[in-house]
Amino acid sequence: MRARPWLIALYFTMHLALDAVSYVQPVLKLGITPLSPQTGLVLAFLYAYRGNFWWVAAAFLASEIVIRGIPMHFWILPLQVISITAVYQCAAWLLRKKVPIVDVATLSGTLKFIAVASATAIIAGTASVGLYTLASLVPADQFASVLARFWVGDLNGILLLTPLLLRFADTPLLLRAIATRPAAFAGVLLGLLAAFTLVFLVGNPGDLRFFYLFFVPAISAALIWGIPGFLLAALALQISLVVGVQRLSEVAPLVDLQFLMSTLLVTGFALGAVVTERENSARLALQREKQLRDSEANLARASRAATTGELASTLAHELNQPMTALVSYLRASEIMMADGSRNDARLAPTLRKAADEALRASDILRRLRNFYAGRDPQLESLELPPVVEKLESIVMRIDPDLPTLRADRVFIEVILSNLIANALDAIAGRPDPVIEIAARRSEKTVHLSVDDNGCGVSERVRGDLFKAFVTSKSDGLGVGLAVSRSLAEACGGELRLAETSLGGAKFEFVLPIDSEHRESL
Amino acid sequence: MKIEPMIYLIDDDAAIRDALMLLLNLRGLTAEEFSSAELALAKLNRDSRGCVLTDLRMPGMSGLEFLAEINSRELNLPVVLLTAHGDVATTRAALRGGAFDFLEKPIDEDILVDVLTHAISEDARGHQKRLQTETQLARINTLTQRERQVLTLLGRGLQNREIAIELSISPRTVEVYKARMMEKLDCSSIADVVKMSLLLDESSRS
Repeated sequence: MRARPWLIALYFTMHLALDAVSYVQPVLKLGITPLSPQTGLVLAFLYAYRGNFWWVAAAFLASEIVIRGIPMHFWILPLQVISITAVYQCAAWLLRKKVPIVDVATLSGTLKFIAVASATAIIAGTASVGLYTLASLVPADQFASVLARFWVGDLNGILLLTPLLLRFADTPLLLRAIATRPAAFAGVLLGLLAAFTLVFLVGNPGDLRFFYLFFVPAISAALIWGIPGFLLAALALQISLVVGVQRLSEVAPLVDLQFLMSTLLVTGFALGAVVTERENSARLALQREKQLRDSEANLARASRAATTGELASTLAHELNQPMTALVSYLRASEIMMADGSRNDARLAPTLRKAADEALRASDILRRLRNFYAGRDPQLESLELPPVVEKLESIVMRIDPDLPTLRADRVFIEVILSNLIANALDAIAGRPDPVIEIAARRSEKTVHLSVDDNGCGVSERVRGDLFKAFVTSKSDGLGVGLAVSRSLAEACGGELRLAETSLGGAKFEFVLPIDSEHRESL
Repeated sequence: MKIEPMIYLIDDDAAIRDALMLLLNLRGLTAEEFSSAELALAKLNRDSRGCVLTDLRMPGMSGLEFLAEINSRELNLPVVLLTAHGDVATTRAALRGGAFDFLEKPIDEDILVDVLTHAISEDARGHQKRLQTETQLARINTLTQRERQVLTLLGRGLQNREIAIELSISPRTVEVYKARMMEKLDCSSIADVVKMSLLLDESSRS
């Protein structure tokens, strides 16, 4: 991606400005200073916008001429500028391929980045200083020391600025992080100030023992905020070093400070990476957990919607049955009356049947309302026998010592009436129908069961018995077992198909005994 | 023997059967009720005339399954389906399966009677047509080999002379066969003969 013109202009300005402010204690007026922040800018620029080789070369050349003037050795300048730019171009390419900047948040990525930065600085330095030496601008015996100066300047520039510029997006996050820990921020700031005072105002010029004090706030920042926090602290430190060296104690060798600075940068980077890595994995875990929760919720919603749709269709069918009969009875009555033969004996029974159908429809509606009201369970102290006995008919086996339950009366009624309705359907037409309703207690539960000697559950529907609306009976709730099971679960109980002892089907509804009552018994 | 048209009403819901039976009865239609499709199938045969009015959703055999069974047994009875929730998919399946019509519950009585009367007359017309075809096929069966050949070739639009060449007989003989064939088939014009030959084609194809 090519950079836009305004970006190139910005880059140009920044490049020159950075070079200008860091033109401190040069060697032989060659622009080899112990600090070259512009290199960090160059690498970031080439990393983000490939194909800007000539702009970068031009910026190097321009800053050389603007800041240091046209040198005696002007013929060497283009060569030097092109070779340095080429080295940085290669470094940017290598980073893009092998160490994408987002990896500078993990320990291994950070270490690789430091290695690339270090190699870049040393190759660019060798090329530059080598050219100067060839041109006899640098005495051969000073090659090593000048190279070291060049290296440390470029390395610090890269380490400090490249990640900071490329991950500028982290800054708002960081500012928020700082805002949540103002005390820590103040502490780091104070630490920097204290160290600065000791190094530049109290200590003797050239005495570097106090420099290690800078480690305290810088490393603290790394531990608290990870790499971004550390980088900001290091930037503040670097600026203060330049200012301190230039304004306060000119004799202090910045190059020595810069070596210490490199040590601090590498240490802080490594520590910051560990912290950032841990934070990221924690955040990732949180995100995953949230996603999982979301997808579970979606699933539940979807299945509820599907169930509702199926329920609606089933209920439409259930309601239309009595409606159809009702309308037909009424129309028949109308015809009989219009016929003039007023003494049609069928009229009265037909009207009565019409009324019955209307009642049947309203009964379905009532049960529908009970289900759809979706009311919360109304827990109350409940004696089971009256509830069970309400459903007269049939054989009952009810343990005499049933415990008091806490359960929703209507839910239990609906479940039982559904089960009994099913049983009644199943035994229809049998010569010797038996339905046995039983209630017995075990240690922690009460078992309500409805057993019959009817047609039983066919193999075909057995698997989906509770799931969908597999049966298509025309009377009963029609959503029977599915609804019953969810009601049972809403009461904290369970509804299941049990082993029949009468030969038909047996459904068992297991309810937990209220723990308070159990303890008192 | 003339068989009275009958409405075969199938619904698992006793109240609906009862109400519809009464209503149809009052409207002068004869109906017979069945509580399941299986029971109705046991009763129906190729001589059953009238139409079927069946619920779609029933335990055991569903309305659609019943429809398929009617078709595969070639009972030739129009089937009117009743449904409580006429979704598009079911309607399409029913009509593609050859249902005569599709009614939604609760049913408007006038529409019901209208549809059923239509179904019955459609059945009568179809039955009439089938009877006619049968008679005609029976007549064709009385033709001799030669007469049948002449019928086929006439149906293809050939002239007497061309038929004579095709069958290697004299045009005069063709005339004789043609006259005998038309008499046997009770045809008065060449148009009738062509219809007959089409019928012959159809029956030999099926």
